[in-house]
Amino acid sequence: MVKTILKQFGIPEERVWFRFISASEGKLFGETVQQMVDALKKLGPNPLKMQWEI
Amino acid sequence: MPGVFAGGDAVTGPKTVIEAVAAGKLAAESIHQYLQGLELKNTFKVSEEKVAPLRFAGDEIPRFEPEPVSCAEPVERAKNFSEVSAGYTLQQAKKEAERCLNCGVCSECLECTKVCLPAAIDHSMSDEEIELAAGAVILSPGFEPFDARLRQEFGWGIYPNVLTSIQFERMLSASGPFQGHLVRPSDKTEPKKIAFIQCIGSRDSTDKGSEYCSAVCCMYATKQAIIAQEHVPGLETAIFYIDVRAFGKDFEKYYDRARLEHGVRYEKCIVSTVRELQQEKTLRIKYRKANGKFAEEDFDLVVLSVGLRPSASAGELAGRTGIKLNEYGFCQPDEFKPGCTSKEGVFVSGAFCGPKDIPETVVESSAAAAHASCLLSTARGSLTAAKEYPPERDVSDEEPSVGVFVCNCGINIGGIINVPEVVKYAGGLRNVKYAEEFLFTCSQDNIQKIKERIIEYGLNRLVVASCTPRTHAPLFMSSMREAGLNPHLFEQANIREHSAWVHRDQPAAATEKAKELVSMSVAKACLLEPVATSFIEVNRRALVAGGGMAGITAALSLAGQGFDVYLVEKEKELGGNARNLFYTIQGNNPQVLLGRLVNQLQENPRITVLTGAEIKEVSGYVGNYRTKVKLGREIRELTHGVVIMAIGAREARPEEYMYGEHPSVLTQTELEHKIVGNELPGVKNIVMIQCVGSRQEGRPYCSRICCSHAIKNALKIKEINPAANVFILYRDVRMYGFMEKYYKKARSKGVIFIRYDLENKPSVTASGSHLTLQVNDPVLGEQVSLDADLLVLSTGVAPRSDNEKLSWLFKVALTADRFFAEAHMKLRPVDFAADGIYLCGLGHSPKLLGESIAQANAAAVRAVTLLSKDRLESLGIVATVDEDCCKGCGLCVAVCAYDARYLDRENGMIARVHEVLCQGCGACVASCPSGASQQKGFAKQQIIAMADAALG
Amino acid sequence: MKNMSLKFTGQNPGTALLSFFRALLTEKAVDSLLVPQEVTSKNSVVSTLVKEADRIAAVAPLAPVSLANAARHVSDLTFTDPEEKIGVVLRPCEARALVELVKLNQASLDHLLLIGVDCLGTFNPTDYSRMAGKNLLTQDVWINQAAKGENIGTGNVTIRHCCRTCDQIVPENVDLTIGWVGLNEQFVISMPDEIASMLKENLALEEIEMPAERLTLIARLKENRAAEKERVFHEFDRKFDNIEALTAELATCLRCQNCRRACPLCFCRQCVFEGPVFDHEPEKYIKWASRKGIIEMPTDTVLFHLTRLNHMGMSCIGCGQCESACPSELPISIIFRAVGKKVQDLFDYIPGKDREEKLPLTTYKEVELEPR
Repeated sequence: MVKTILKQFGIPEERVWFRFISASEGKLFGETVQQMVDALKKLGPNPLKMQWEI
Repeated sequence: MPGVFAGGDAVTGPKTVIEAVAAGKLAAESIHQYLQGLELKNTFKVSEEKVAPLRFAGDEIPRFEPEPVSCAEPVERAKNFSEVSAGYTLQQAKKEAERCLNCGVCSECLECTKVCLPAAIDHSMSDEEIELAAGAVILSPGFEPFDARLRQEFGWGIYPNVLTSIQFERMLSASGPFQGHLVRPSDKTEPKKIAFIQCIGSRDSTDKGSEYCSAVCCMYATKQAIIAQEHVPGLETAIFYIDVRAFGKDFEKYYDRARLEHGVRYEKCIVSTVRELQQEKTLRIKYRKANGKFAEEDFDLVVLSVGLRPSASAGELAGRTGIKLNEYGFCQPDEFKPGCTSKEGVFVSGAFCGPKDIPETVVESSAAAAHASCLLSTARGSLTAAKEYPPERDVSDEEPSVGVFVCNCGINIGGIINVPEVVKYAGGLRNVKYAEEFLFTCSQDNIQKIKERIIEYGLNRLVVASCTPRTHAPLFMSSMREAGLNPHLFEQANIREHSAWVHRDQPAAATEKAKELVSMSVAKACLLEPVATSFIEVNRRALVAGGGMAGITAALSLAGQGFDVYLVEKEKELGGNARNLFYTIQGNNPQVLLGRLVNQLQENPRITVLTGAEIKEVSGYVGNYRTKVKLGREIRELTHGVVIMAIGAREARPEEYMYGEHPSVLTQTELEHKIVGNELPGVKNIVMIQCVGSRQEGRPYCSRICCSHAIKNALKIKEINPAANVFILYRDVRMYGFMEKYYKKARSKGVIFIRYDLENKPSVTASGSHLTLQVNDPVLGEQVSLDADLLVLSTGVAPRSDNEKLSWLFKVALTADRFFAEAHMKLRPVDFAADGIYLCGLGHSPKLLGESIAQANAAAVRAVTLLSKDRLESLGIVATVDEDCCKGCGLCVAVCAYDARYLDRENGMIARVHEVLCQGCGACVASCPSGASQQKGFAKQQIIAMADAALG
Repeated sequence: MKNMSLKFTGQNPGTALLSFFRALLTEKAVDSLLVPQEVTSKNSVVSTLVKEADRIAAVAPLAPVSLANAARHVSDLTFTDPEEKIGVVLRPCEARALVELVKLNQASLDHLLLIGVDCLGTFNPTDYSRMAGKNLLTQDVWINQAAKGENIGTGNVTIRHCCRTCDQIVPENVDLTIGWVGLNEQFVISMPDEIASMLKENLALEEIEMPAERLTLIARLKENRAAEKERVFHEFDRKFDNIEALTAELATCLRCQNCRRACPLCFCRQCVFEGPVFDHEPEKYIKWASRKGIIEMPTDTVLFHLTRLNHMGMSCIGCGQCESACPSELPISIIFRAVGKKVQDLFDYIPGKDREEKLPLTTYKEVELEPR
């Protein structure tokens, strides 16, 4: 739902992640965060940040 | 021993020469004193077992001579300046290193005391013998895996790529030898094909293995195969088995998933040998297929599913405690007294009782605890002492005054992060009154210092930058209480796990991150408010729903542990399914047990039995339930603090094989009645069909008990009339654990087992009173025709139809198969997700009588953990509601998994919070559009303040 | 249910309506009545709660103007038990809003008679007011002019775009429906049998079959409007696919919260944006400004709309009141309807359709939101 709304507002899906990670899956959590960080670095800063009119 | 003196390494383990000399001198002095008849001074007695033992027996380690170092010949040396000694080659060095005995005996170099900053190592400590006064003992020494060396034909210990399942489990683990990478030990390449060989050392009649089934290997092999496939995409796995014993709750579903979703191949066969192909170190498995033909197949890796053996020390322990072991060396309890041993006051649990998996181990451990708790109920609480705290200081009018304590955690944090810099930074943050670093903030003396600083500087908020709050927050919070502050004015920044450990190689950045974490915590701490926890009284009475064997056992256990019980049974008579059981496979009579227990129930003043009673309405919550029960025309309201659901289940009614159409087609229970009633004269041919309606669409689970039920009845028939022919048509014979011997016995008595599969079910035709079965025999490979005087169907266990209603009344979950769903299969096998409701018996899943009894005792002791409290305290981080903002839309009520939110319709439609039920998950807070719902300690403003602080 | 014909041959339709509503009160079909009436100056229509039949003078439930979504008033009347039977007149979008409010515990249907009316759309209140002042547009004019489904504009002024793309002309989930679209010199009122027998004598009602031309016309209008809706949503999707388009449209938001006050579904007593969470210290603004170099005041305008979408998007029934209320004339209703539709589609949820259907956030299905 959040993704759908944000997408319309120009915040692409890749910037909002939903993953189910259980409390016992520490490794998966670490990997996921790393993946997200890498992906975000590739995407660059949020375009919204540049806008002052919001 | 008088007159014998000792010194040196033999006494102390390896030590320095100086100390050996000192010991010698001491000994001489002592000898002198001894001879003079003086009292011995400056010396200590060495008991025999304290003489430092040799780590290995002399012949245990093969002896290698030191590898000589090759040196250049003198003739050569004279000619040049090249290196004289060539040193070791790689192989030589390795060989030499292997000579090390890894003895690990402390040589008291005392280096460890120098590096241990909190000086926790005390070399002067010696073994102590402690005597504990205990009213009951619970033994759980566990098991040992079967030594795979004993089955040399499978090549373990010879071929590098043959592993035991235990080794393989380690290999799959992230902390294992290859960091979770699945590789062949021989060449470190990823395998493409793995074989699992089942029943290694189990179901093995030779003197090397054990006769019993180890019960857990089928499932762990299935699990390992699935996980291995997740590790290596495209991996092929095959499990070579005799019977797949997926008999536990939801196990069949897992087995189905392994086959159908993950493509794990299951090969019914008997493996004869494993041989290595020398070039590739690939392994060739030779096996005899189900049709009797031999086949060979190559695999990159072979995993041996080793069975469970009694632990080596079990016999010794049994000897010392005086308990009896069974023929296999396990402490197998009496069928109807799981958890009990032959000696009163000594209880057992876990795999020491017999091979079993985690859920059963946890259940039986709780059952053992229940027995101990019954025995010791009068002493409950007699050794506990309550802690006193000073009155709480009111800080509501004070400006935030934060104390920040940054921990070095020895070198864990201090070795990476520049702690003084963080302290300096923290000291400069707004509202921070005081900042200090500690080597170990959690040490006794520093906790004391924190308390002093709180008073000295008038601190009213505390931030500790250290490790995870999960382990240490309670300690720091408690120190705040001791200093007169509300413990919830505390915030912990995890600069160890979140910074020092994960950014080990970037100390400067880690220091910056630690600063940010501290600044976030300070920002939040400033907005923290005192939290008062609330309490509710606990009604110390239990309601047991269901008067079958599980319900009766649970009620008796609760009463035995000192609590009042309502036992509510829908039927007019107690006993449930046990009323239809007349003998067990072990030869015991459930009717005798039932009669005895019902007597005990009636005599027990703590138990109120309500039969013919239907539960109509349930309200209230943990600690304070109100349940309306209909008794005839009367409605009675029962108040109680906990509920045990012992609802039971029923024998499934078959819809196949002419059941209900032909008088000679019966269920196993009906057969048992006939056997006991001696109604089988002249019956010569009896055919039993297993898995009727089970393990197929509609009822996909395995009913666990049918194999033993069928074999039990078959053996009884053979006992009465050895000339009778009994055929059992089966899919897998699931005689797990010690029951395997009855399977063997049945075969030896001439019971004939014929396997069929789901695609090729047997068919039945009737002509008059006569029945004929057609079944495909996979061994003969052809259709077999059997004449039957009686056709007996093993129909399995089906959930009761009122499970739905009860699940709704008590707000507890059901599984996809409509049995009750426990909170966690392994960790909380008899709890429901909601506190205060527990489950046992057939309503949980199909199981044998003894297993139901164990589970009932387990549920009872779990209930006692709650009943033994005077009152329940809420968590600090519960949800709150702003009554002025709330408009009672009920979204929070709908999303709360714990029933902790409710609409108060009388007082202006406000969604209030049952604080004691609230688990602080925050779901209601997220769902509340107006922000009326907030969570204490995680208020929106506090979280935003943290985010803001992080952004700088 | 019976279809009763109320003829107004030779008289103003408004007069016939007036007699109908008076009869509801005098025959005690209801104890009170929530019905739109013309204001004294005749240039607009507001909701009134009427207890006495003779105080009704100018009922105008069919006048093409709506100053507020009446579901809000129904919520005010039934938040707790009103202890009497109230008849409430609702347009299709108002009936839908009421269904959502009932799911959110903000209204109760226990003591209501829901009187639905056909609606072909409403004008912007200012447009209506201007035209009504000149007598160019009144309820009677509208009924005569638009009953054929045409002439839904007057001059170059037409109904709100939100209404042009609304494909529900006849309300659902009501007890009684006043039909006028596709009819000639009569209303066909579908009503429960007992109310029909109460009113029959008094109003000379006649039971009839629903005229086929009405059904055909409504089906055709529905189809056309659905197509138009599809087109407009599609166009929106194309236009609003980047951050620049968004800021361009929302830049002038004042965060006055008129939209949320006009929204029938924003039921909160106090919006989270008025509460302590957004009550920032002065230094915060300075800090933010120094972070970016420049910020717009008031802050959090886009966040406000995002939050409202997150809270109410699932239930948005598309009445367009938010947009009519916006002083900056932002295209809020299309944003809410188009984005709301996507969110609703995720859960196969149609707001206002079914009272029994639970809000998606309060239900759990084993299979939902799987990657598709």
